[in-house]
Amino acid sequence: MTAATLERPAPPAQSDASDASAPNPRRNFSEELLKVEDISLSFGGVKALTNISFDIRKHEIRAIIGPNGAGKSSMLNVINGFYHPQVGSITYKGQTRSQMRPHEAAKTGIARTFQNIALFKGMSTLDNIMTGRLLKMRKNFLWQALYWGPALKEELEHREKVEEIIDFLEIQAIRKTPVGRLPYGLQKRVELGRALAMEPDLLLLDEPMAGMNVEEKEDMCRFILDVNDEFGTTIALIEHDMGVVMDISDRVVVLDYGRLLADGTPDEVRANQLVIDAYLGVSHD
Amino acid sequence: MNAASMNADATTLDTFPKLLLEHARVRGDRPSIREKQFGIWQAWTWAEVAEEIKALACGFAAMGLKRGDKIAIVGDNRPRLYWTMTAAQAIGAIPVPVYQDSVAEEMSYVIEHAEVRFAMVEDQEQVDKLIEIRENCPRLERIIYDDKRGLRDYSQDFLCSFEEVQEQGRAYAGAHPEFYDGEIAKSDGADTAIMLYTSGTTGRPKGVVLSFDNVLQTAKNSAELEGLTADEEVLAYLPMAWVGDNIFSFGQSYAAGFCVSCPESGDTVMHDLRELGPSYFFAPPRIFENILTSVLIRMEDASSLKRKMFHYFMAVAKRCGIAILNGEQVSFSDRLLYALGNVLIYGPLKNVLGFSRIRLAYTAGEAIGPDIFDFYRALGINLKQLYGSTEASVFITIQPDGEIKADTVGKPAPGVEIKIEDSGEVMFRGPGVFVEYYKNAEATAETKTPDGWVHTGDAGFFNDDGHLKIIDRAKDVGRLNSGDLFAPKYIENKLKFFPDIKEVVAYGNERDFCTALINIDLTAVGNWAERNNIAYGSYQELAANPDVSKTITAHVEQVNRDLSEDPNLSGAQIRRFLILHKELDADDGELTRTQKVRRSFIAERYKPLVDALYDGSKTARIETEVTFEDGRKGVIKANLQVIDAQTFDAPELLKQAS
Repeated sequence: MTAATLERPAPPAQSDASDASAPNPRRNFSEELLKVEDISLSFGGVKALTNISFDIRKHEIRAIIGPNGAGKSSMLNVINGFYHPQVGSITYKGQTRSQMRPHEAAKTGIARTFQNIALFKGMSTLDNIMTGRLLKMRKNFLWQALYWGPALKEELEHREKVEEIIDFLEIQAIRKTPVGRLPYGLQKRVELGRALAMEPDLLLLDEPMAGMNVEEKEDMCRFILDVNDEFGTTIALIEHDMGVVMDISDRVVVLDYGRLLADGTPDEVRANQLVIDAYLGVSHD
Repeated sequence: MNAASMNADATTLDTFPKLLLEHARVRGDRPSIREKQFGIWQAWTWAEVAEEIKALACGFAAMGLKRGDKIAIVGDNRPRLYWTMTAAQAIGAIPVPVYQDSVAEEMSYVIEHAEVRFAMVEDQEQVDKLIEIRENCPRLERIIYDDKRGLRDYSQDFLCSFEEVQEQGRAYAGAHPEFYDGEIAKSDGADTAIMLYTSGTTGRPKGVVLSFDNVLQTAKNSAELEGLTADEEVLAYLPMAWVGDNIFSFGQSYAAGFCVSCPESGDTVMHDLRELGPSYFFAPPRIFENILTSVLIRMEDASSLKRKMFHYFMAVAKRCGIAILNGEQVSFSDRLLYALGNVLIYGPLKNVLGFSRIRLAYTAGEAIGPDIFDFYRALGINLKQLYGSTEASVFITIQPDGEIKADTVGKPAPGVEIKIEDSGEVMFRGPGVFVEYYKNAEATAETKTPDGWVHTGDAGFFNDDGHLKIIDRAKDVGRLNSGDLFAPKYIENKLKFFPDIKEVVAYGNERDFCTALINIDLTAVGNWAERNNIAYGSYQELAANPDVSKTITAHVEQVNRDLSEDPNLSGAQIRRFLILHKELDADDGELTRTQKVRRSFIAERYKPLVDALYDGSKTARIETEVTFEDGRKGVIKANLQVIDAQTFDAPELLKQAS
C-alpha cells in the first residue's frame, strides 16, 4: 500500500459531515485495481457463473448482491483463487491471469473474511489477528522459536501493527480472550481484524453483517467505512441487507442465476427494472 | 515535598496551573499521568505535561479563548482532556466537563446554559453530537477533537484537531514569551476553577461553580487526613463531569503530586485495574456490588475444592477479618487461620481484582449493602464510606480509620461543620462550599444561606458515636395514611442488597400501605436460571418466570421481617409488589446519569402499574416507550402479575423471638 497511489480525488468545494455515510457522488474512482472478464464457472453440469465481467476500482467500496444461489460467493472465490473458472480472465494490478491461485492472491494483497466464521477458536483474539501477519514475517520458524535478536524485533513490529488494529476495531477488552468464547458479532470483528492484519489492497468481505443485530451492524458499517477511509483499502463485499448496501457502497454489481444483471451506482441499480423484478420483487399493482 | 515547603507554598500555590509549574520543577521526571494505548502503558512526566499544557493553553489563547470564557470537555477519561482543564484554567477560562453519554438534547442544554464557546471532545461520536446541537447553541464557535479517526472528510472550518491547537500555541508562545506565565499569575484562589452540572433527580441540571479554593482546599485537607503521598496509584475511570472524578483524579493528584492512570477503554477497566494495582480507589457501591457478584458467580463455576476453600476461608474472614483490619483483639488461632487464608484465598482473589496494593478505598453516592461492605473489609481492604455532594466539592463526612460501620457515613470531614435542622435535614458549612449555581440566583438562595450553610436535602441524624447516619432524601421521607414513617430509600436499599434485585422503586407516601416496583438483576438471576435449566429468551421473559417471582417474594418477605423489628418503620412493610418487565434506564429518563431512580417520573410513566398495586387487581397491563441505544424509539407491552407479600406484626415477632 503506497501513499502516493491512494490519493483521493480533489476535495469537494463544499461538504457536509452528515452525508459521510451516504453514497457520495464526489467519490469517483478511475484507476482499475481488478477486472474480471467473461468469467464462466461450472461445477459439472451446474453453471455457477456465466460470462461475468466487471471491474473494481482502487479505493472504492464495491458491493455484490443477488438472491440466494446467484453466485456471489463463487465470484469472491474466483477472485481470490479458491475456484478456478473454466473461461475468462482476471486482471489484477495490471497482470492478467486466466485464474488466480490462493497463495498468489494472499501475497499480492487480497484478504478476505468468510460467510461462516473461520477463526482458530482456541486461540486468543490477539493470536488470531497475529496469524494474519504470517505472510509479512521474514524470519523462518527456527528464528521465531529462538525469539531473540532480529526475530524478537520483527515480532515486536508485527505486534505493534496488530495492536493498532485492535485499537482500530475497539476490541481491546477481548485481546486475550479465546475467540471461541466471544459472541458472534465480536468474532466477525476479529475476523475482519485478521484480514486487516495482512494490510490488504483488496479486502473481500463475505456477508460481514449476516446474523448481526442492528447495533452490531451499525458498528460494522462504521468499521468498513473507516477501513476504506483510513487505510485506503479497496473493499468488495457481499451483503443481503439492502439498507447497508445502498448506504455504504460506491458501486453495486447485481448477479442472478450466475449472470450479471446490472452494474452501477446504488441509485442506478435501485432504479433498474430488471433488478427490481428479479431481486427486489415485482410489484403486483 | 516536605511539610515545611508545602506550608510555605500553600499561600502562593492557590491554583492548579501554579501547582503544575511547581510539580514540573520539584518532580519533573516523575510520572504525572498514564494512558494505556496499543496495549502498553504510556506515561507523561510532570515536566512533559507542563509543556503539553502550555502549548495547549497558548493555542486556546491564539484561537481567541479569553479569560472567563467556558470550554466544554466531552469524552472518556483521557490525558488530553485532563490537560484541557488545566490549560483552560491557566488562561483564566473555565472548564465545563459534560457527561459523555448524555444524548444531544441534554448536552445542548448544558452547552447553551453555560455559554460555552469552545468544546474539546474525544472523538467522532462526540463531534457528531456537537455538530447536531450547534444550531441551538449559537455561542459554540469551535470544536476541537482528540482522536481524528473517521473525521478525515469533515471539512467544517470550526473543527480542528488537538495537534493543530498545540501547534498554534507553540507559535503563539514563541511570539509572546511572557504571555503564559503572566496569565497564570493573574488567577488566584477565589477565581472559578470549574463548573460542574449536577445531573439532578428533578428538573434541569444546575451549573455548580467551584473556585480554586473550594477544590484545592478540599483536596488538600482530604489528602492530608488520609496521608496521600506522591506515590499513590489511581485509576481515573469515572465520568469527568462528576465532582468525585474532579477531586480524586485531578484535585488530589495536583495536591499530592501522584500519578493518575487512564484506562484503555471503558470495557477494559477491570483489566487495567488488575494490571495497575491502585493504592487508592474510589467506586460507587454499584461497582463494588458488580465485582462481588461476578466473583460469586465465577466461584459457582469453580471446581468443588476451590469452592469449598473459598467458602471456608470467607467464613473465617467474616469472623475475624474485619476485627483484624480495625486493629481489635483477635485470638491467636484465628489470626493463624486468617494468615493461611491470605496465602490461599484472599491474596490471589485481591490480585485478580486488582486490589493487591490497595491502601484506601472509598465508596459513596448511595448506601452500600452491609454484606458487600463487610466482604471487602473482611478481605483486608480498607473500604470506607463517605458522604458528599457537588456543592461541597465532595467531602462532607468521612469514616475515620478504625471507626468503620456499614450503616453510617462517618464524621465531619476536616474543616466541615454539620448541623441537623428541626425537619431532620442535614446542613453543612466548610471550605468546599460552592460559590453559586451559574445564572441561577434563586436556586443558590434556596440552597445556600447567607452565612454559608448549605441544605443537603438529605434527612439524617448523628448516632451516639458522633457518626452521621443518612436515612433518605428529606423530601422523600413521607408518611403512610396511618401516620407511620415511610423512608423509601431505606426500604429500596434493603431490597437492593439482595444480589437478585437490581433496582427498586417503593411507593407509600400518603397511601394506605407500602408497595414496590422491582427490577431483577440479569447477571445474577440469569446465572441462576442457567444453573437450574430455566430457558428464557429475553429479560422480559425471565422477569415473568414464576420461579423468579417466588425468589423475589422471599426476599421481600425477609425485608418485611427486618422492618417489623424496627418500631419506627414496621408500618412500612411492602404489602404488594411487581417485577418490572424492562430494566430502568437513564436513556428513558427513569434513572439519572449517575444511576439514581427518579421516583416521581417513574410513578407517572408506570401509572397503570402503580394504580394496580393499590386497587387490588391481580394483573396490570403496561405499554412503555423505550429509547434504543441508537436513538430510535419503540414500544414494549407487557402483562404483569401483582404479587402479595406476607407482612409481619411487630409484637408477634418479638414474642416468637423470645
